[in-house]
Amino acid sequence: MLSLQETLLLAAFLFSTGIFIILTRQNAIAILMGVELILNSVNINFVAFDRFLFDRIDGNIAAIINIMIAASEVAVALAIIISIFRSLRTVEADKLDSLKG
Amino acid sequence: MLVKILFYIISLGIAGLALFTAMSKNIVRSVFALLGVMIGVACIYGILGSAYLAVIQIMIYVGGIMVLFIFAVMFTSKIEDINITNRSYGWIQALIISLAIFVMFAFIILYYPFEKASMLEHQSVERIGKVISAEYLPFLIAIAVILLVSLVGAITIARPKKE
Repeated sequence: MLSLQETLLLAAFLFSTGIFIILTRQNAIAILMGVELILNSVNINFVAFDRFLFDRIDGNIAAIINIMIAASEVAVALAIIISIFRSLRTVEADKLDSLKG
Repeated sequence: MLVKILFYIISLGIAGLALFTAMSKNIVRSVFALLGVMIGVACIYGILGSAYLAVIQIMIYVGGIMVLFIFAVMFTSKIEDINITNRSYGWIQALIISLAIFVMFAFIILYYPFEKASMLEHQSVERIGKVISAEYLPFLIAIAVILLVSLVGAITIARPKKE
């Protein structure tokens, strides 16, 4: 039978891979992809705890709300990135330093 | 037992695709590997017994968010320098940090005494609907408003300005 620990280990692996992507990538869209991986791992954790430990359904609802927030976040962030690309012709995170004095 | 074998196969696929997303030189390949990760996570939800969440994941992540990602990648990178736009640096430090996080999490997960670890059979779509429309109604309304505002904001930001 499937146990809680295996599911949590999968989520932890996805989380650390997302951290790795955020730390290494230069493209802003790739950094957003790392954020998406982290959000997915958190959702897996919610569903697993709800499934294995508690006799309630709040974890599923938290995951649904999390998915909705991720959708709106990605829409706004990609719009900002496209707007930055239109004015600066680059999406590399190191070159977006025009606020630097 | 069959569930466990299926879970391990899907987990290995997800882990490999996530590593491919992290390592690939080509950002379009990276995006499609991330799409595979999303589909695999939907399968994990299915295995864990919440079919509604699997459907939501397929509809919103695979059908909406990844299409947005693919559009953004196509908009912001020219085809000829598509290999240059996915550069990465600082591998060693990032590897140390993420491995430290993973080892810490694994230590906590493997040594924390969880109370009972048996699968409960309670997550039906009907129950989710009842709970989300009775106890969680303010959250539902807030989510609807947030989605509306963020979509209008996204359209306003991304639209080219007319002079």
